[in-house]
Amino acid sequence: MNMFKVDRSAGLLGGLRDFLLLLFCTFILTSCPEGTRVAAVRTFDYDREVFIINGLAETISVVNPETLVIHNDVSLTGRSPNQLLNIDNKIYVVNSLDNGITILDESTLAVEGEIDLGPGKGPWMIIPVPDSTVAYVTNSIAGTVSVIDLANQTVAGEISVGIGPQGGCYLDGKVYICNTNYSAGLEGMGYNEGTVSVIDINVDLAANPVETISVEPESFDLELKNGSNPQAAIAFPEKNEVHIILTGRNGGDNADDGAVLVLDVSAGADYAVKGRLAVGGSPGWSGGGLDEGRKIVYLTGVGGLQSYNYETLEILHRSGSGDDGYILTGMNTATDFYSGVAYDPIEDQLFVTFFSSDTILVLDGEDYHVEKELQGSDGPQNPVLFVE
Amino acid sequence: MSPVKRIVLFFLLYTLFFLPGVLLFCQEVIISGDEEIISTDDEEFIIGGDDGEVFIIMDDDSAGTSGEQADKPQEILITAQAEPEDPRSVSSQVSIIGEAEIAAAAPRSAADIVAPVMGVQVDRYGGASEPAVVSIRGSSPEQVLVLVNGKRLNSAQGGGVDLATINPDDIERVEVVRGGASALYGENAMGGVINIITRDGTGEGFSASAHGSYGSFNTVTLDGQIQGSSADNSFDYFLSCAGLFTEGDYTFTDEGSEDGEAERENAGGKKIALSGKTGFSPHDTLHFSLSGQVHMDKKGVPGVIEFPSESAGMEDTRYLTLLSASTDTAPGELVLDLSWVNQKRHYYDPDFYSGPVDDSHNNNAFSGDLNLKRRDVFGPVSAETVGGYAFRWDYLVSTALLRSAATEEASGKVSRFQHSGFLRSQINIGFGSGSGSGSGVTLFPALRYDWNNIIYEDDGLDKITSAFSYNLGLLLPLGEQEKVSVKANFGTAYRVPSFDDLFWPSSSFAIGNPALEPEESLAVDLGLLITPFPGMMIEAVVFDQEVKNLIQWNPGPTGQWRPGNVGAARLAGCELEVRGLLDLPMIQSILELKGNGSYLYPVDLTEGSVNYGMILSRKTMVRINGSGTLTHADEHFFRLEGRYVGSRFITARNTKSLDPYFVLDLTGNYQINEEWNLLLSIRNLLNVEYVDMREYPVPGIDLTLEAGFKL
Repeated sequence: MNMFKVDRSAGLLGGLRDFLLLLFCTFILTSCPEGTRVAAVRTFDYDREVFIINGLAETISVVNPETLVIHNDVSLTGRSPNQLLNIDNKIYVVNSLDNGITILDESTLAVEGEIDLGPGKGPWMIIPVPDSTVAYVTNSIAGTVSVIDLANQTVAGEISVGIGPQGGCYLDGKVYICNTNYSAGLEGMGYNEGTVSVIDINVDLAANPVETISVEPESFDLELKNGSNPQAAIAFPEKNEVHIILTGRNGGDNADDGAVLVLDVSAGADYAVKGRLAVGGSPGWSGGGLDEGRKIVYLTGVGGLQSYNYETLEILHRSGSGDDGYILTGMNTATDFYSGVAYDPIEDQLFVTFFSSDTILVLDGEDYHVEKELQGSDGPQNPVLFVE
Repeated sequence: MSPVKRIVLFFLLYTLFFLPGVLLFCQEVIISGDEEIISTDDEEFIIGGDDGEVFIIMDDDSAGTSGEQADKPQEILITAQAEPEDPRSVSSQVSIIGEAEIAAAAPRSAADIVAPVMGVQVDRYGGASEPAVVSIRGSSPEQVLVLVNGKRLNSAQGGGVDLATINPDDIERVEVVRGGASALYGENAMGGVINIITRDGTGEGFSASAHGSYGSFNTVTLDGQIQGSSADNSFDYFLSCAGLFTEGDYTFTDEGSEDGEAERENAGGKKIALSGKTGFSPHDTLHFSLSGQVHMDKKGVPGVIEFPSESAGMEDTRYLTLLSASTDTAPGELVLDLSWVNQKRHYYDPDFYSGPVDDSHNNNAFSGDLNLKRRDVFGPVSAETVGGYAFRWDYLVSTALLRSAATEEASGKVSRFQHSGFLRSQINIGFGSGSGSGSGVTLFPALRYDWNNIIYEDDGLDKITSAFSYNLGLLLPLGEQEKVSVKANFGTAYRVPSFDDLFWPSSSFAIGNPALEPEESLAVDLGLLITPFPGMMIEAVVFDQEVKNLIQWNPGPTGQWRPGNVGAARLAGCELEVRGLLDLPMIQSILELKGNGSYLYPVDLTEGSVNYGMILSRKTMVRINGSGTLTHADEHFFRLEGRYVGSRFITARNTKSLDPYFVLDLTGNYQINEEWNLLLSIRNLLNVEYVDMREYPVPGIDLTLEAGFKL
């Protein structure tokens, strides 16, 4: 054995000194800033801007549509931001994992307030009611819709709808909510019967329950779990139509089952189906892809953009290749995910958020050639054009 | 500041300011005379001497200072698995936590034991019943190989090993190897290896002990052990049982809520662990051992899986059996190990928003190792070589896979066969008059070939991958008394994609990717180990690791997460640890001081990614641990342990980060008499609110009072 005895003359003071020095070293090391990658102050302001959510970076980017200059990560969002909306010069960001909505001042990007929806909600989308301070928020996890007062930034109520509500729209006193009805449970994974809940905002819901419409064809077989997965709705007031975007099986099993269901919401029409546009793929709708001049709806998704004429209900670009195939096709149709599109009528340009490559593609509105590719931040989605 | 500058700054500050002071109060003196020996496994404390002084004796002949050199050849680490490691005899950068140190930390699980180890990061999902996973040198939990008595706990299903499921009362020591080395340990060993050695009954005669505790969050623990051996030590046994029951729920700050505070509900749970180990030596050259462990727990799930309801729960069960036989006859030794590990998980959430969930996953792993050791001496060169073969059969039956397949003929089964051949050696080249192990330069070359066959019948997949791994280690003692050793390692490591990576059932949230290839890394490290005298150890290491084919889960089409081999990264850093002992004769006690720090620079090198050059998310760059343990001659002790964890980015874009935190734990033991003791433990003494994992707050101050009895 090797032995030694500690020299008691070496004092505690040495140890104390070293402990203090250790703390000093720790302070020096840990106080080295990593450098924030989020701008603290907004240093630009344009008359027209395209705001983009970066879902993975949890930030906002801003593009000047005239100069095509992009400012990435200009402001932080909450956790898992899912939608960004402009209402009365305020920006509302729906943060799914925070169960809340952040309100930013449009010009300064300063946080002006938060609306807490409560735990277990999973908010997905805000549907504002025009000319009022009321908005409806779909809660994808809770299976409800929260009614919020934008003026007071409070929750005014909560309404039960179907399972997995996501998108929706407002038209003529009614709010249309898309229920995806996905099951991960014991009775088999898959999409059950997709429905749309119709909330009449002018009636007492206690006496008049929320109406539910099936958006499945009559041949729908519940056992197969191949529901149509309604994820979004677009209102066309002048036509008294609501277009339901049926995403289908999200690309699972190479599904090519996306479609658009056109509902007649005229009084007495009883939500009759005016058409079913088999666009294929897994279409989505991010809110900004509407060219009102050409009457075109642009749908997002995997492999490319799809489009149709909402006046004539003619499919312009469906899944696949060819002249009527995907816009932007030719890239990796299996994995490329175009998460959002916004149309700028002044410059006649489409701003497409390319989630897979973290870029923003600027397309010509006429022939869709890529005019410019902007380097975005991490996980761009949901571009929205703001005009002061 | 560049990573190189940071590393240099780290070393300079610590070496300039911290080391000299420790060296000052640890002085070398020789003693002799009749003293009273008090205990412990790593060192023995001798109380008494000529005038009541306290002495420390290292119970290890290889320390090599002013005392004599060892006469007998030192036990050589060669299996890289079950045998004890001595940091001074191997090239690996290894930390060893002995039984005394484990007891002083009053751990609730193996997670508490490894948390203060240099280069290690333990991420907790909450309180005592919630999972805790480990990272070494910035690895993912799946890139850390966790062994129990040399047998791997990592399941082929993936997810890393939950250290909270390992009962600390069974543990004799823990060896933490930092750095990747698949040539020595096989797959998963990319960040490092944690080898947990369970207790046995050798050399104890008969003894028994029992403990009971009650603490915060209505937490109750009970445990008992018996152990013994025959007079000639040809037979020994160890048996233990332990239970933990906790209500678990606690409050935490939630800035998003109206009142700024929220309750962490559904955080309760219970654990039961049984363990046994026996050894039998019918002959001097023949030894058999059999060990078995059972772990069962049931816990609420306040957020481990996305969006659980408050009625979500999880039950984990693990059975581990190991049979080992060895025969040692000149010139070599033959060792045969057979093991079976069964790990079951039952997850249920009857109120899940998209329908009730009730899934079971049953993992079985059968494995066997045949090692043939051979020792040769050629003049000043001695070599010990191990060649062998290993097989492993992993077999998963999952209800989630069954539902995903959605056909009546589906089996929900996935299996993986692995065959491995390996050759590793320890070659010592003596300098001058010395020969054999313990002097001169020692090289540690190792080669390994693994062949993997993954079969998923329901999907028609039959996939074969193979990996060739190599490693070269160097141990170079400097100076006459070998007070300084240079250690260096260079080698490759890999991880086969887990079943979850490959076959995660398609849902609206995620889907697996059967086309994944193994993750691969190339690592190098260089270290100095300084033992100026027994009881004092300084260890300094720099390391660099490049990883490619990193498997990353990213959101894909319509938000569905899917893994891909898209990542590349570089993880460089440095580590420094100092341990010393201080004599306090006026109170007949010894103060053991230990401090370590690690700095990690993990950078994303994924070509074409917008995050190229960013710091990898969820990696702690700066960690500092320090502890002081005051041990009295009557076995009272008082321990104060601090842990500083620096900030971590939580987005790959480095736009958000978790706050750094400093946690202080206190443990005090009062030895009433030879049989009874009282132990007070206060975790998180400063009641700091912190999170290791986003969305998972860790409880505040946690007080436990324990009574113990030993016979």
